[in-house]
Amino acid sequence: MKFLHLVWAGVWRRPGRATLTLLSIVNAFLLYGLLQGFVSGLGSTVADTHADVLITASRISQLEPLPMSQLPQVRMVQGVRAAAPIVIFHGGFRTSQPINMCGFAVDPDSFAAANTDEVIPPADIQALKNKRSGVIVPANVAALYQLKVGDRMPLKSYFWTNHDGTNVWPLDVVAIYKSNPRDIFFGSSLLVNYDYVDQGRTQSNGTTSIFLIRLTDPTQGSAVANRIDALFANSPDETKTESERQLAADSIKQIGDIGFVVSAIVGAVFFALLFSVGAVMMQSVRERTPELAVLKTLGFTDGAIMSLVLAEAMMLCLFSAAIGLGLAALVFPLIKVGIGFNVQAGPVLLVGLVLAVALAIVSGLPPAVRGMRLSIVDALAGR
Amino acid sequence: MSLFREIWAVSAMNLAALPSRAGASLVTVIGVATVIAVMLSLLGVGEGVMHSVLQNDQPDRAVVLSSGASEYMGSFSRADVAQIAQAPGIKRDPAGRPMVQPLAAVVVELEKKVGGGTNNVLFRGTGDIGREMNKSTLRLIAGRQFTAGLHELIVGKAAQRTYRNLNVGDTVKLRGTPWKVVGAYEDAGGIDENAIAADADTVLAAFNRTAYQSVGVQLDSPASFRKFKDAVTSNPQLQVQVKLLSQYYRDQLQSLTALLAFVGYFVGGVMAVGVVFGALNTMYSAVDARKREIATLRAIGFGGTAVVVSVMLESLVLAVPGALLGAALAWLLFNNHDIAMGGVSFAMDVTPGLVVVGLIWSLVIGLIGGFAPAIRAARLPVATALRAT
Repeated sequence: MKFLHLVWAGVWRRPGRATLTLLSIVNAFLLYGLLQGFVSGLGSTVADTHADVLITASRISQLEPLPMSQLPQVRMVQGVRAAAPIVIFHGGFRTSQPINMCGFAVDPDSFAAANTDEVIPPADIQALKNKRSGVIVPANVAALYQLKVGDRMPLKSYFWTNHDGTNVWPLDVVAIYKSNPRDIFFGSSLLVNYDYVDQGRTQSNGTTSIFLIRLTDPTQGSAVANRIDALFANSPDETKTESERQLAADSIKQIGDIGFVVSAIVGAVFFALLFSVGAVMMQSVRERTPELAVLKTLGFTDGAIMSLVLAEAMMLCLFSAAIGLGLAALVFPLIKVGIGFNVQAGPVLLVGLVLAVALAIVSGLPPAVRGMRLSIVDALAGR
Repeated sequence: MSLFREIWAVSAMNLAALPSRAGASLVTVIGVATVIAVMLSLLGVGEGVMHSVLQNDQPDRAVVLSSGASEYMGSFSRADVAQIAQAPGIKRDPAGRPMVQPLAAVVVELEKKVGGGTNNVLFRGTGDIGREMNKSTLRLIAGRQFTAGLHELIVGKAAQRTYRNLNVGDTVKLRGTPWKVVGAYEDAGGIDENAIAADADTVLAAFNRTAYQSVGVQLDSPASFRKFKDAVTSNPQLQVQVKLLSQYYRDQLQSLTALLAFVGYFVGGVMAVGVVFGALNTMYSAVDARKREIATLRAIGFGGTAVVVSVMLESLVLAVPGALLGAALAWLLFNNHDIAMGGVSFAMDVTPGLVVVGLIWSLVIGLIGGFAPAIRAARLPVATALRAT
């Protein structure tokens, strides 16, 4: 500890060079923190899903409709607490700002029964039931378009043609609910009446896109899913029932192997950084050859010199890494607000510090060994 | 002495001394190479996506979609198709029929070969006119064409590689109906190589549908598009939108390619900042190491400009091979490398255009990394620098 000052002075011996090196390490750890934070956020969206939710869709694809006649049969399946038909009703509003909005057409009564954790306040669902052309709007969408209860909101549906031949559906805002970016299905979606959509659309009438199912016992998910799918096996409308968690994991997998890409990028960044820090440390030791020789003359052992150089590398790397990771940690809340990812900061930062230690050892070892092997006579003579 | 000769003399001297600072110089080369390799690899994904979609960018192909609907959700009756076929500007085939092909599109689920699980795959229904339109790119590589009326299908090369039971002769069950795989095709690396295809009416019947999802049209010339579009969209019996095929694909992929480009440039940008710091370090120590030489040159009459230019030049000389090395790495590792995204596989494409982008970035890195050290070199007080050890 008493050499801390000496080490610190060694780091800042050439302030210009030290600053530049520090900035390049800060930069690398900032990038690492952001990318790895993003990956951990992706993972947490899976962990945030509800354990007791199953989604039944057509075996062929989620775009293929299922007949509503399946609903009473699904409700009879043992272990199903509530089932609600949901028609995908994604669309855009005020096309000058082409923002893709998720929307679902729900039957208020069966949706209220399936809304067990009350993500949507029951009073809002009642309001939707009372107004055929009603829409419940999440707070973030309402803020974006400055909508308030009573406003008219013509929504351009991506999938459904209205009976007037256009794809514009006039809707009336009946309630605004607090959006929750962590709920991938109903955290920030528009909700409209199933009857309004189904009776207005020109095709697929009497069908639903999916059934949302809540379980009596979350541990029985796969058994219930199998029971539902067995019910419709070999019928014209075979189903595929999966847990919400499974769906979330699949949709992330469909984007591609993001974890691998991020590791590859981080690997490349640190590979380059290793050379850059190593070269700087080597140069610094070379320049200080006479000083190190003096230290040895004063009685510093070979091991002490080696530790001194290593400690310098360690201090430089840890100090810079801490700044870089700190900056990344400042951005994490923005990631949460921006895309709803709940970043697992702890593990990301911890692994970052471990990386910094590894970087210091690998880049500091060659110059440290060089310092250790200095012969006093040669070094003092400037040979 | 002319400025150019001055610059030439100083630069030649600097560059000749490069090998003596090989270690530090190598740091810049490796740094730049890494940035460019990572950035070009990321951008190569976007290029691959674009390429696979626009491989046959034919300006005389149009597609008619239900208004507001995608390729999968449209609804066209036979009467609608007949209405469209009467519009002007449509090419006629040798038999005199207008080249209008009603298309079916259903999404089916196929089992993956690797890793288990299933993916959604596009099952296209087409016909002999559609085949005629695709003739310039689509080519059978095994087996034969499907026969209308029979449950026979042909599979894209990429789909065949990715999913089970798609070899010629296999039978694959789609929604309870067995289909026989009779052929395999390639489509010049296009996205349709991820699809499977059969006769449109047979597909509709098998999937209990009565309407086609979209209508493909071959125009008699690219100039006829406006005429055709106006005629079809102003027909009160049709609620449709008309797009050039290439434009339709571009619109579909716009947000994906924009995202990929953002990721590539963002990661590349942050990495480049780090490399600029490294390059500055290298050039500062290069200037430091040559203090006396520079001072001597200034003392015997060389101008500040020559010194500045020579330092910048050295920085560029380190950056450019770095970029070429990085581009070569990206090309060797990832060009034509297949990546799967959203259930579709693309071949990554490290294009010459991207290599030029990489070179430009390296020049910028080199210029920024060399600028401040060059100014310092020119401002060295000659007397003190000459006395320096």
